[in-house]
Amino acid sequence: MKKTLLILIGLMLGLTTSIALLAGHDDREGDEHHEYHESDHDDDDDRKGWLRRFAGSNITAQNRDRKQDPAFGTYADECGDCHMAYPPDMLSKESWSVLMTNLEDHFGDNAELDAETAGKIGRFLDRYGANTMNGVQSSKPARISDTRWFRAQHHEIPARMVKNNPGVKSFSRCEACHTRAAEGRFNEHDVRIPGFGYWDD
Amino acid sequence: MTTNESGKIRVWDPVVRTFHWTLVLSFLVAWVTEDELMTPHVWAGYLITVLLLIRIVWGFIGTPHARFRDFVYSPAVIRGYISKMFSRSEPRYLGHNPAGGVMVTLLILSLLITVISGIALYGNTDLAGPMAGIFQGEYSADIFEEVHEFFANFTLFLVILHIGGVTWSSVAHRENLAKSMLTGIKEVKES
Amino acid sequence: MIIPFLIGILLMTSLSIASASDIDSMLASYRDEGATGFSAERGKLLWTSTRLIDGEERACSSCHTADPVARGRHVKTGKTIEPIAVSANPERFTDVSKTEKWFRRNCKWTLGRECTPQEKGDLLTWLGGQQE
Repeated sequence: MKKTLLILIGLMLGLTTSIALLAGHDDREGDEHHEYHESDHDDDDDRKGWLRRFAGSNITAQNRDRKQDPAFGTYADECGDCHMAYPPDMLSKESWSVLMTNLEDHFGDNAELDAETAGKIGRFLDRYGANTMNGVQSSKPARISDTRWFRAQHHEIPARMVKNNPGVKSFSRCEACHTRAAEGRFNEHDVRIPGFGYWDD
Repeated sequence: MTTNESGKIRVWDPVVRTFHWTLVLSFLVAWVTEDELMTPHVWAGYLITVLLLIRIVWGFIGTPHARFRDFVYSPAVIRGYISKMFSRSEPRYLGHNPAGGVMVTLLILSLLITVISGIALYGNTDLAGPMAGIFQGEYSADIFEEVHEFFANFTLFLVILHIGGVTWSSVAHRENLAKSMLTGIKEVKES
Repeated sequence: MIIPFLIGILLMTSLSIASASDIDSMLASYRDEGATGFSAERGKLLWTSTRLIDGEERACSSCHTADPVARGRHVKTGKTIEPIAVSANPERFTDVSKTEKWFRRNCKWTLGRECTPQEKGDLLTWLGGQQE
């Protein structure tokens, strides 16, 4: 019995290692073999669409609650004036508080607020911002698009689809590709990159 | 195991049987909800993890036919059994036959790798679950994802082979093995 | 027959008076701070003149476009900005605190400093009096 077990375990571990090594060798910059597909994926949509209607996906309980918060309207208005009002849990509480003390230089723009409104929004962000307890986020980085998890999710996307794409221009414009961003849904099946179509992993 | 007058014998205990069919359901749910409905997908995965742990422990301390010792045979015996299959003269086993034993072992291993890589992946890219934040790299995300997807598919492949094998054995020895996994009962046969 | 017509005229007048009076009240407070003789021409000039701030060429028209009745676009985020002229967007400048908030931010960004009461008055005179 032992011999068989050892052989089988060895086989499976070997297989795992091979897959892991192959995966790690994916091209980083301008990954070309992860292609985009045009609308030949409509039936994929229908197949899964009925499932999605039964339950929400990719929205944490935290995210859902924030819309009931009395300060949510203020946050959505003030912080949605120039760009999409980002879900607070995409950045750590620490990062948010640093951001709120530097509104005069908000990534090159002036986003000053009166003290009362700023305080209200700051407290809101502290309620719903990501925790730092398990070392997940730290006060750097200041940008959502610089966080590790964001970069992990987006690192296969070449520059020609974002930075050099006039329909997108920047990762800060979630709504340019994430068609359900306004609802807080960022599932990759809802992604349509302007000028390129679906993103298929 | 108990034998009654009509020559029936209980082979599979309730733990094994419950484990088996709960696993079937959970795998189905996980497969269907993958990447779409994360909540049921993740909870099916957690359930499978628990089931696997229980089955592994039971494989050492459970009823005779539940133990690994009962159905994990030496490579020589396995080879012999498979070659006998070609001449359709393979013997009938009460517990898992040698080929079935390999299948069970591979399924458990494949599922283990799937759930572990799944939990790691969940912690890496969704920053959720018991391994949240432990891995944060872009490269680790790719690795966990590829491993998880591969072994989910590999498990399905094994499942298809498994169904094929069970059907083959059922026909060869004129018994309903699936039903036996439900009721636990097999007929005692003269060799 | 003539009564609905008169009511219509009355309504439109009162509406334009309402927005006019918000701008008027702001102009009045600027006068209190020393501004005199507001000029739409000066406002227009201020709107389109560019300055080099932090290595960038900036003007109000960078986002709002040179034509205040046209829709603008945020220069970084691409977000659509509704027309700034009252004639195209009657809601503009009806909320004093909102107006002052944007003045504070956008003058600082565009000019590198707050706008003087004179400049704000000139701008409001121009943007409040634009004809379609």
